[in-house]
Amino acid sequence: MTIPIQTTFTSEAGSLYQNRIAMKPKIYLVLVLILTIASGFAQSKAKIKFSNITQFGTLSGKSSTEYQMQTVNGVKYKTISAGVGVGLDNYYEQTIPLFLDIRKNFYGRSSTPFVYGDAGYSFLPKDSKLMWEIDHKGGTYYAAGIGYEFPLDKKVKAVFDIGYSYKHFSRKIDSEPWRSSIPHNYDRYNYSLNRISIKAGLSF
Amino acid sequence: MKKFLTIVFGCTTMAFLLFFLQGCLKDKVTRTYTIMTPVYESKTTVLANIKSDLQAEVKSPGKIFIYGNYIFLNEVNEGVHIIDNSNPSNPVVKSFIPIPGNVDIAVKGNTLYADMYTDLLSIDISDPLNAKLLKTVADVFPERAYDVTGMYGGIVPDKSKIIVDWIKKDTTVEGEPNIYSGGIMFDSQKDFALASAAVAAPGIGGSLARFSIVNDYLYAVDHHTLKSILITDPSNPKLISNIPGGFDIETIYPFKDKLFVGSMTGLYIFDLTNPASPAMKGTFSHARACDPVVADDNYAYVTLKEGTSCGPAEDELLVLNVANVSAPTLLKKYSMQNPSGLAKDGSTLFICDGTGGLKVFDATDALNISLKKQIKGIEPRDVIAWKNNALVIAKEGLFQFDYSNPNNIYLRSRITVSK
Repeated sequence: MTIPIQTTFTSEAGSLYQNRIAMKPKIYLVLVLILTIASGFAQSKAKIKFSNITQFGTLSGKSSTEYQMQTVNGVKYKTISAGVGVGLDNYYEQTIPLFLDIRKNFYGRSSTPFVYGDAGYSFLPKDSKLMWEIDHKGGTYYAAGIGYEFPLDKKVKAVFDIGYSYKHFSRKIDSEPWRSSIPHNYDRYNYSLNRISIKAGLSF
Repeated sequence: MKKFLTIVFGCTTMAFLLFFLQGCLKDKVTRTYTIMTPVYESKTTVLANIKSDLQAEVKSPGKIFIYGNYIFLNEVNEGVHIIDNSNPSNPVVKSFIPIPGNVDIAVKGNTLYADMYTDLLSIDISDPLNAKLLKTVADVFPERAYDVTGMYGGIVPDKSKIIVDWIKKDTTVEGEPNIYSGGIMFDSQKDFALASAAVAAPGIGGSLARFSIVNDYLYAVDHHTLKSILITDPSNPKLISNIPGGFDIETIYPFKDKLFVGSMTGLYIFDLTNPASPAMKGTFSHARACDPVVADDNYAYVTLKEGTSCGPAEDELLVLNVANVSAPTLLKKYSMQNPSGLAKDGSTLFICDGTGGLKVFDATDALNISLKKQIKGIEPRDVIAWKNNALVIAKEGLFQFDYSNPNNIYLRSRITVSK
């Protein structure tokens, strides 16, 4: 008689070291993209402004509602702006998104609706290991939505937006750390999290 | 006023959108694992097949042991490779002794001692290429039995059968991590399996050993006990005593008339004045971590490894003063990346530092050790340093380095793990 037991996954799947190596090309890709866009702006004769958008807000999904914060630094040309953003995403597990942010204002005036899109990588802090965890790694991060901005004074604008946000990460966990009699056992958990994002903040 | 109305309108719209859209979103968590079904063989057949007339690929290297011109390399849970190391620059895998459930080995004279799940085997290796089973001592390691509690998967030990293989079937389901209940419940049964065995005179093992031979006794550790096994007659090993040895014991390292036992919570030092029943002389407690140890006359070197099943301690090397074995004291800590096995030859200290590779230190001054060389590109687990030849067992295979000149350590050979 054979009795199945739930046990092993993968033998020597990626180490943290390999994960770090895997993350680097993604970071470089984001930087190259933003530099390319900035370079394109620089070549035009129109006025280019550097911009900063710093926002706080919530992420709401099936699991809970948690806080988030982001800051985006980049350039603005007419009604289009692009920048690199970094933030803190506390939904389900605290992660640090690093992303390219592109947004388009509907109008050229100071008060205007806009659409935005973010794409990047969500990093899982090293110290977020669970018990018996072998390793973890971050994953894709993207977001898109609509918003509205209006001036508070000559330089500062208030920015509100709402949209959809997605992040992914994974963990490899030793499922039977007390055993050695059978080939060592790992479970791979993949987390795909879908949220509604609401943010408010200031733009300079 | 217009701005105020705009803000109120915006917030109200967002609140409604949030309320209605939130219910449409779902978080997806998938768990991928393998269903494994054991393949049994009768114990009679398994014992009849214990001879070194096979060859097998190195797939999952475990503990290593050097004896004479041979390297004995454990293939985790499968058996022992015998490697002719007459020329360290060109080691040759000669044969393989199939021993299901084998994770620990030690050698004295012409006899290889190996575990087979709960049993201890003695095997005549006077001709390493024609090994012969001498004796099976049953139930020496009861913690190695499958599912002693009967709570995990329902596999009940059947002493007439041995598990020789597993049929694997990968599957993915949606679900949440469920890692705590089982882990804590069975923590006391944890059986750590990676590394090598240690011996005083007749052979040399690594720092992660759970077997060690000193004179006429084979010492073996399980989670809570130190076992002394009389081996004056290799064809009839006798379990003499089970000595309480602390908690979550992992490794055993002999030095002169002492045994240094590493556990996940501390170091225990046993005196071998009465070799049949070693007496605990001193202890040193540390944060919960995986903890191999090597020692010399004055110092014990302990690596603490954080993570996985090890515990929350910092990754570091501890240097202890053990001149007075009754009262080991901490002298200094050195930060490491993710250390496991280590070895010391003279003033040269080798540390397997996980993804940081193999690190070679000048330990002339134990309070001020300095890094001489870092060999990256491998993920080493344990090391034996012997006569200017460092045998390193790594995730990638078995490596040998010449360290006759510490400033010019170079790779002599490698036996790569088969994918």
